[in-house]
Amino acid sequence: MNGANLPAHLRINLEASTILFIDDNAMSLEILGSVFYGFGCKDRVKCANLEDAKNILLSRRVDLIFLDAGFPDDGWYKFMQWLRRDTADPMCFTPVIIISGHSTRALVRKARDCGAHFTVAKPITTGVLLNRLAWIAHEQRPFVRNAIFAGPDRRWKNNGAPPGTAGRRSGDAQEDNTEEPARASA
Amino acid sequence: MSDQWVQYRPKLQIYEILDKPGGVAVEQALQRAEEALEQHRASATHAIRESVTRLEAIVRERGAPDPEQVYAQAGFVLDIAGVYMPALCRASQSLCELVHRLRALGKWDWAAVAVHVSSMRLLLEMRDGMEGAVQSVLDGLAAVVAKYPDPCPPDPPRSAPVPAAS
Repeated sequence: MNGANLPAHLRINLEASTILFIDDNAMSLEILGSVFYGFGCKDRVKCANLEDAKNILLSRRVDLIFLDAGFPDDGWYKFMQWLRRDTADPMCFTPVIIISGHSTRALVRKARDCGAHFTVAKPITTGVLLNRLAWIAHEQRPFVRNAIFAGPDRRWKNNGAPPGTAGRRSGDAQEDNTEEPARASA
Repeated sequence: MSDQWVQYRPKLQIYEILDKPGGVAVEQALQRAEEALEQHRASATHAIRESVTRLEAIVRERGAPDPEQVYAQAGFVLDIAGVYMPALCRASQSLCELVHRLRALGKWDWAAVAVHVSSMRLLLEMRDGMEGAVQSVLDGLAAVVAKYPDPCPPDPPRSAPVPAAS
């Protein structure tokens, strides 16, 4: 194992991937972009405002988004709503990792409910970023959508419907007692 | 949109990054990322120093409380310091949290702000290998923040399932 808590034999190939970084702090953008340059990503798109980010997404394929949660007036949350609700397949499924600075409890709740794959709180490390990236690729979590939530399935362990309830999803009864994926096996 | 859950299993390109030939081993990727980060260390440190100096000036003047300005400067340090100086990042996070709590209460506490700013300066100048002292500083700041209540209450505990009627 290593700083990313990943198997040493694992290889990551980001040569053909496009990653979009959205942050209104120019230096943060440079720092995050450098980390992924080191990981081998050649196509790194840096964007300082949310409207430009939308236009980029509408004009080209993006494989992964890093979104800073520091935009005022919950702009990042509205951006997530737009991405998950108002864009077409496959853009609406684009994996998103939220980067949070000062994480109030309210922000953590919103980040949990906004349809992102992960929220990473600062201080971040290169190991954590690589680990989360490998997780997204390895887990390939299904997306779920209904009137109140759209995003990757947040249930890490599917034991069917919660005890004492009939369940809310059509697959609950069939998927009962599915094994939890091994967290370090990415 | 209905209340019914709909599930999708999209095939995304990012899912293939672990299976594609070529690429870099994890250790190598981490090493390259650290090397790339070093290129920004000097400019990041310079920007952090400027922000801490601004915070010191604000505390020295003790004019009309300006929570937004203190929060913005602390937030800037928090954003940049993370990968280079995690302890300083945590101290600035603590200052952001203090301002957040004071704002919610409609109060201001110069002494609490000042102890944060002087701790940030201390952590900025501290050499490696002083983990014990760093932790003491961070614990002290946490105690200062804890004097004021968190305006956002914790999640209620999950209720136990209702037993089926016999």
